[in-house]
Amino acid sequence: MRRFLLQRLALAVPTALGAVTFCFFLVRLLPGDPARVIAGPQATPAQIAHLREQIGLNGSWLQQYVSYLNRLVHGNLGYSALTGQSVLSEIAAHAPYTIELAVCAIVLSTVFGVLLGTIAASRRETFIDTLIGGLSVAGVSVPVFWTGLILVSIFAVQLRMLPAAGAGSWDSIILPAITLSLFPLAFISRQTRSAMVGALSEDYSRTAQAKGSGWPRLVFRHALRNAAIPIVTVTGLELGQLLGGAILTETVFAWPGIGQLLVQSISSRDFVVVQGIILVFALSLIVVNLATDIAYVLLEPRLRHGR
Amino acid sequence: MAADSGIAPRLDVAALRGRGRASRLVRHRSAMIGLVVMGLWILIATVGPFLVRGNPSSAFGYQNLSQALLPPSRAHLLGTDQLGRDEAVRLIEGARYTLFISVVAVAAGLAAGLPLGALSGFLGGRFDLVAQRFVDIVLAFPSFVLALALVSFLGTGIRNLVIAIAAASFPRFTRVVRAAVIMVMAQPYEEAAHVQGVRRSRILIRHVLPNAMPAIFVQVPLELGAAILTAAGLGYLGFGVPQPTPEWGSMLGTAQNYIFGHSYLVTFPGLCVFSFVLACNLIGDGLRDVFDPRLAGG
Repeated sequence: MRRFLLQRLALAVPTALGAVTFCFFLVRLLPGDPARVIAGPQATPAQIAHLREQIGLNGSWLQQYVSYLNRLVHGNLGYSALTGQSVLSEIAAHAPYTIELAVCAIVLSTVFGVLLGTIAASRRETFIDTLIGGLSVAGVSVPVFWTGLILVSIFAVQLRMLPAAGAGSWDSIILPAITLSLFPLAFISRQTRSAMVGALSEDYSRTAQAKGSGWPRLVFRHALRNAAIPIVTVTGLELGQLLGGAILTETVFAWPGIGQLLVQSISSRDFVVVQGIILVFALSLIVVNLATDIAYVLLEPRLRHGR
Repeated sequence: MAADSGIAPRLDVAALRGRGRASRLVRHRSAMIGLVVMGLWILIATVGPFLVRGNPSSAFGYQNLSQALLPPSRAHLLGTDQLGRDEAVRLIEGARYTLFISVVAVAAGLAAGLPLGALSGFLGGRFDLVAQRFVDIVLAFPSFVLALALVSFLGTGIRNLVIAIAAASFPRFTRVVRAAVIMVMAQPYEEAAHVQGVRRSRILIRHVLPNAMPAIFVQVPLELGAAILTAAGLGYLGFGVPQPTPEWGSMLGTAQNYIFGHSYLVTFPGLCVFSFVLACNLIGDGLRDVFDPRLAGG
């Protein structure tokens, strides 16, 4: 098990370094002189020179790269051209909202995804199975921002039950969380169904059934525990992809998270902030994938005791 | 979801040799629904724009504020937008952009992912290791975030949109092709060809790739769906095709401002995106069931 984890960790380090390198080159994709583009059309030559110094655009590419790495190691992601604040503090100010939203969405999607998938698998090839299957395909096909807009027009505009936007009151998270959860919910339900169909047809399930264990015990104690590994893997993968959906969801609901900060920064051409957020997103995804691997080891006794 | 098929479809190569795949697909009800919807959209995207050419709303920069924000009626089946343009005409024009952007982006993603994945699986060893670490890095970015990052630094416009979406889809193609190639290579007939002294390049092109094709067939419609969603998402945020091009996502972005009182402007473009993506996913699922009978019905 230790070897497996060390191996994963060893793979994550070069990936993270690669992501950093990608973000370094991202700014250099800007057409023309990046410092001039970032500083904006009204900037004086002195301001541009200052900015060039600040974001490390002087010297050879190698020197720039080393100084970029050096600043990252010291936790310096640069400064916003708009507010002058450090990018890290801007991200830190918005992060709690995104984390809150993501946690709510992943809890919703896991609970209901596993539930629906389990129901579909144990009622295999009935109307209920077909219905859940159809809803799942629909769930992965619907644009997340459209779901959000439709929910707003029903629950905020017509029924006036819930707030349409912002994070002002306790109930403002309900619609964004449901919106963001739909995609992973559908995905997890499909994965759960196929894992459960497999587990329910295994010998141990038949044995348990023959020994007279009831349906709940069969499903929850025998089948679901064995189906847990693929389900956890998928949930972990979805958690990372959730960030993409979060950008759109936060925009629909004016939810003040990192996604909204990212969209505003792109619109106002605050590229240092954009670069920082994208790097943070990539690094979080790498960490989430690593955590998924650890969960996988913990759930799979063959890996835990073997090797 | 389409974007997440990091888990390559398991393929039973022996079963693929079986007959009647087409007839199995025809009997696959949801796949047929998908094919019909997809066919309708292709028809609308190719023929539709010619039918609405005469309509003033199809002209760039057209506006008629006296006709603005009319609800659906006989004159305007799906109503008019804030500039008085006919919503149905714009949606028909939009189908063309959506189809073009997603098809070209997926083709580009496939063109990059197919050779890299095939060589990676076929050669193995150091090439595989390096190539897959590169793919790991690209996959470290959530696919929508990657596309958004590229568009924000490259700038908006159809060309950059295609590049961004292709970049997000190519690592998944690479993984799927690699997995399929490795699986095919384990088959005895590959070994037989090898023992007979067939050249390696010939083995790859004549024996391995054709047998790895089903995995790619399954992936293409799923990637098409993902590409449409990404394009619409970028358009919604305002980083897709610039105005006044009638792209569905950007139409939704504008419509959001009129959600109080004119919700039909939000409903119809969303339905277009949804039905198109749903068709892609139904076809992808159907193809997977047909090509991999072991997965069919669980």
